[in-house]
Amino acid sequence: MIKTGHLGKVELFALVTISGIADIFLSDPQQFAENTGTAAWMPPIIAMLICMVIWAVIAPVLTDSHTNQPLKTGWLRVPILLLIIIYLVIDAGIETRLFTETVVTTVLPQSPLSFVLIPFVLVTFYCTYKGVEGLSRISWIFFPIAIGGVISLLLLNWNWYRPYYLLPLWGDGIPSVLSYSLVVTGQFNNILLLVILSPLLHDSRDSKAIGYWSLIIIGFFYAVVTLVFLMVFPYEAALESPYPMYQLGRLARIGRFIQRLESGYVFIWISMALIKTAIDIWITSYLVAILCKMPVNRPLIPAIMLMVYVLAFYPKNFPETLSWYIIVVINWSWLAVITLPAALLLWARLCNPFTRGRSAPR
Amino acid sequence: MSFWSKIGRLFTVDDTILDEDFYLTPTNEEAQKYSNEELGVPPEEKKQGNKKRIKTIRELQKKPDTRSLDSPQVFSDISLNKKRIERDFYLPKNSDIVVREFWIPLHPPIEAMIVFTEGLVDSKVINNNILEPLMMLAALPEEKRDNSRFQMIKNTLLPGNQVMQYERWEDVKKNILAGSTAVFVDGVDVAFLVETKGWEHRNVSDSKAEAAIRGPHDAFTENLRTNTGLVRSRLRTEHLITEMTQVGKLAPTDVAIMYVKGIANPKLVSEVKRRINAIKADFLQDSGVLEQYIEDRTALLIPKMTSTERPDRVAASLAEGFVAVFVGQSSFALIMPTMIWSMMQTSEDYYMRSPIASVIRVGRILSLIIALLLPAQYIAIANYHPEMIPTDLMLAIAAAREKVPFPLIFEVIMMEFGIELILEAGIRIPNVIGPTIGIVGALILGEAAVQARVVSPLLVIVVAITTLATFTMPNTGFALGIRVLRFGYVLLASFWGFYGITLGVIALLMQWACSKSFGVPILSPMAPFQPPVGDTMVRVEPYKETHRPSPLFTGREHRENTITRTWDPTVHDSREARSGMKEERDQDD
Repeated sequence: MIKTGHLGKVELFALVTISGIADIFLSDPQQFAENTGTAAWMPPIIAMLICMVIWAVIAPVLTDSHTNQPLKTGWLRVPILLLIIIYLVIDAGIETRLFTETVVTTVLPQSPLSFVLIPFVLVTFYCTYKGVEGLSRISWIFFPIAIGGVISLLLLNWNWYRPYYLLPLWGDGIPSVLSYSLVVTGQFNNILLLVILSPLLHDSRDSKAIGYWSLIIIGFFYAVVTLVFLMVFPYEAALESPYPMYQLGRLARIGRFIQRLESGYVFIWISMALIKTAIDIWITSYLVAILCKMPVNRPLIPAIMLMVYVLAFYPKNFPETLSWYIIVVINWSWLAVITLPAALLLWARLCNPFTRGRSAPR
Repeated sequence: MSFWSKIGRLFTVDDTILDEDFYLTPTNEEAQKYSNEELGVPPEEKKQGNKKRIKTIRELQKKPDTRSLDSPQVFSDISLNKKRIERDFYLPKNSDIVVREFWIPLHPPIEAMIVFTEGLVDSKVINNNILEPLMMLAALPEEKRDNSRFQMIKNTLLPGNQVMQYERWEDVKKNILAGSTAVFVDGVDVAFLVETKGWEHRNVSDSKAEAAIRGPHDAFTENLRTNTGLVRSRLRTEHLITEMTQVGKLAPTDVAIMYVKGIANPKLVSEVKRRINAIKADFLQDSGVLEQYIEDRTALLIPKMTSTERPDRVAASLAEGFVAVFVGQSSFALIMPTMIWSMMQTSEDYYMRSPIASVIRVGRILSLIIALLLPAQYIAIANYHPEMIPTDLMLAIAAAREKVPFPLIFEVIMMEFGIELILEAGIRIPNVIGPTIGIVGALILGEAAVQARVVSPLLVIVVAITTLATFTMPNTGFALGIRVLRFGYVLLASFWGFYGITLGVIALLMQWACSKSFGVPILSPMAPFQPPVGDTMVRVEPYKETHRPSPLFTGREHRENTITRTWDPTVHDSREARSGMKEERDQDD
């Protein structure tokens, strides 16, 4: 008999939330500002509301006991899962490269890239190999530290807030804000994670509440971080900053002793990046195992890790990496993390028409 | 686990957490039902109360005993018994074993002998309770029934408080070596084993490793029965079970397993017994060795069982559903399973008021972080992140380090190694010259090294604070593990700064998150989150700790009423308090 791990609801909630928030330490706020102007804090909120509507439609399918195997139902799952796998591998590779470039630029400027990337890959491999249950537990442990760290970073810059930097209020215009909100829905990868990991919950009905709460927290943090970033940096300066959170850390200064704390936040964003990359790789191996009808997924992890490592070195430099990140992750991730999982669930529901409307007995 | 076993598990188990098969989680059939039939001593352990009829002298006199000297049964002929004793115990060479022959003054007199181990027995008990009654015995009436002699000797002539009879030589020899005295009577084919243990041992005294200001001061000794007695004197319940077993093929060592029936999870108890019974070693010296035999996985540097020499801690743990194991001649008992939080707690925490205890516990957790990471952080900040330090302090550090010829990593390792030498020497140095170590440490490591510009002054402060933080951790094994891990973080910080420390912390937490102690994750009840969590990083008031630790899946979940302070003005107006008080009045009526 093959044994797989199980997840608790608070652990899964922490895992999907951290995975969703991790990209906040990259250039996401800067990209929001570039596309919507001074109204960059609005798209995350609107995207959150859109995702909540989508979740309201697809969550009952997840909790229905007759469709609790959406990953194994129907022929359409094959191309859908393949696309998701490709997206996750590319996402993991790009983000690994981006995070290590950030470390090199901000913390270890004299170190070669491989010297920073290899330990990251090794520790990520170790964590992925340990399994999703261990990943969820350390996510729960880091969750208050991460949330508290981000909030403290935002509050430490209170003396730099300039609310008038937010004007004009609608930025590049309402159409721009609304259209870009659809793109920003791709940052809510918790939906994809929940679709895949919900069957591992002790009670899959908990996934509904987990989905709503994680969407609220992710949307809130994206919005607040972007808001603070725009209040601290004028619009033109914001466009020039590839590492918004790092810049906010550098600006924090309260007295002689509370200053230049950006290095202290390395702990937070590296841990979040590692958890996100590890869960991406784990889910990739899990989906490949499902597609290939393999009983276990652990033997696939070294191979996928190697692919991610190679992909991380594909871009020649940081600007090229950033451009790939913008194209693949920011602009098109909505397809992989929202549309495809929703299609998968609806297809699974269609394959079981007689169970429509029924819910799992308590 | 062998290499191929690991490969095999790679294709059958999909999560490292499941690499360990044992779980405490009860199945549907086991939940809420702990029947007497499920507990108890396995049939093969029941050696006493053998109902086989003892052969009488008359029956035996009819047929001479023709069995060979290698027979596993005790002989009825005392001369054969004596030969067997002399052969097996290498007499007369082995002076530890004493054979005393005498006659029981009957008509006709009966030859008898006693065998005991010098140094393990209380000679007064032998003289007063065995030799005196047998040798000064009044004449017995004639036999009226076939088995009266055996019964008369056992029931009226051996006034020892524990008398057992054994037919097999294996059992007789084992008990002789454990401190009992064997009585052989001519014509009776069993040996009486009278409890006469009384070797020299240390008296109950203060705890050496777990001193406390508030709370009991007594500690375990090297006597197993004294230790179990100290626990039983606190936990006075008939449900407290002590199961005895022996470990060791060459020289058996007594091992006692204590638990409270009806509270301790039966799966936990049987798993503890299974692991102990699986030990096939020649000799078991101490509880520390037993711990290494039965712990889940040895790759972890921190212990997976709590070792303590405080009886109050053991009693409290037993009442919560843990299992305690005592090893003969060891003053440390083992409590299992354990969680990380248990290793950061002392029994004194429970005797203080909860806000104070909570502050102290938080301080211990900060001490853990300091002990593990302070030298590494010093290296990271000094080498990679000097902007975090205020400019004045940074200039002072730079000035102090300017004339030191060594890199910072070398300084740190040198100082840490020096501290480790002092700590190890301090344990083993004779008391007479013990103060010398303090002088050597203070002068050489502190003063002389700084003046010689081998190390910088700030580093001495960092190392001193780190060492003090290490010793705030109550569990010695845990503190030792942290001391070893610290060196790893120093290396990571020297290569990668905060980035390396972060990766190391994540890897360590991941390892801890996936480790278990007898089926209980060692980070529980925080990860996995299993409320209530009021007794982990902080301590809530004792009247709010109504539940036993949930990861243990104990037999009785509640350990006290929900409302215990019905007289408290803040609660006695509540509906729960009023219903609780009404129930008490009804019971009194």
